[in-house]
Amino acid sequence: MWKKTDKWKPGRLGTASAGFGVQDSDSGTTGFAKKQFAHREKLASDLAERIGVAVPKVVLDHVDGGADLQAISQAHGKESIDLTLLRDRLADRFNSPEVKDAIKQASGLLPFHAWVATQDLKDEHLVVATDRAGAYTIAAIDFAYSLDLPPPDGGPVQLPTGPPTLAANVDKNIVEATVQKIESVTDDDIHAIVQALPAELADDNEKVRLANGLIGRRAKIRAVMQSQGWMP
Amino acid sequence: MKSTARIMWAGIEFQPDLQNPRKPVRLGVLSLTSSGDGVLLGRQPILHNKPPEFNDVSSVSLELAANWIDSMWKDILEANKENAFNRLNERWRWNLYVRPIRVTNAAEEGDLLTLAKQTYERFVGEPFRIPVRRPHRTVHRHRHANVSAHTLPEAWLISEISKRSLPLRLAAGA
Repeated sequence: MWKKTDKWKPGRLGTASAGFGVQDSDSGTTGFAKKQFAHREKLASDLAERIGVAVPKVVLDHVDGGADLQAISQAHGKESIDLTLLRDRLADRFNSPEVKDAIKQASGLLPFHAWVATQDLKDEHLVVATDRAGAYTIAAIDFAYSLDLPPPDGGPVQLPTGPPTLAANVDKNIVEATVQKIESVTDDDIHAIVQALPAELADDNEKVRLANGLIGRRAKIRAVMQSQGWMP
Repeated sequence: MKSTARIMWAGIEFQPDLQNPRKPVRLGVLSLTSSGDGVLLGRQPILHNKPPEFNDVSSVSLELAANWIDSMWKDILEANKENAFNRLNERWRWNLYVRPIRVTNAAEEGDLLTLAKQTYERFVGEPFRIPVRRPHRTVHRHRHANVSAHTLPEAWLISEISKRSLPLRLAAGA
């Protein structure tokens, strides 16, 4: 059961989608719970897992037995920090080879953002896990403003305008590999992932819109990545 | 530093493990008034002689914790007309974070720096003591002092920053 925790209690943001720290009483792990757009957070996490890009695992659950389902984003690593704070306050670390390498390794997030139409693309939404020396990993967080896919086919795929640090450090081979993985996700896979969303968060019409949008956009990503020179 | 404003208090904590959290390490306190006075004080692990609480912490987290007072103060200054606590909450939300404590009315209280030290003692669990190198008080103080072996733990650097009339804006609830 997920409960508010005293062991990690960062101040709440002054935004509508502000969340709070929670802890699973069974496993002991912490997470960040958000009520708004919970189904988008969950869907983005499940899709990312399907194609092997780093987005922290999201579970949907009630916190402290409350009535609403919340999206609980689990911690990315034992220790983590977002790229903006790292760049602003530990510039030498930000410019270190291990961080630069982790940024390149995260290039697959660019076609993923294109697929799910993430709008809030900023470096604050890239989290570096630093607990394994020399093997840092970067994950994307906050998909509250994504998956707003217009019917019937998800609309045109736009080039992601960010996060800026990712867009400036592209590993083309990783982008290509990720595009291939997205293209290999079958219609059935997409329907299954979308259908797993609880009805209280996404009704049948919403699920149809999401599934058709993801299916429709799946084959449009390659051309956008190529036109930007982000593929070999 | 007398003030008649509302004071917002926050504690600074470090959670060494977000996946299997343990009791957070309490580092310091922040107080900001709606009239623009501010005090930030606390303890920072010393890189070459870190306290046991930081034994299994990565070098990145340790370095961030070793400089959190200056780093956080920069964020307060850079907030300018933004809500200072919102800015801090946006940026410091990982292992090292700002934890709201309370809001008080300054009219019923006294000197902000003295109050901050009392709050530190309650929050961290040890008195705030800094070896005084410059005994005169100034409006803007920024002091660092390496701890002395006989009065303070050797693994911590104790620091304080206080300033009046910051261009701050504060929310009703931090």
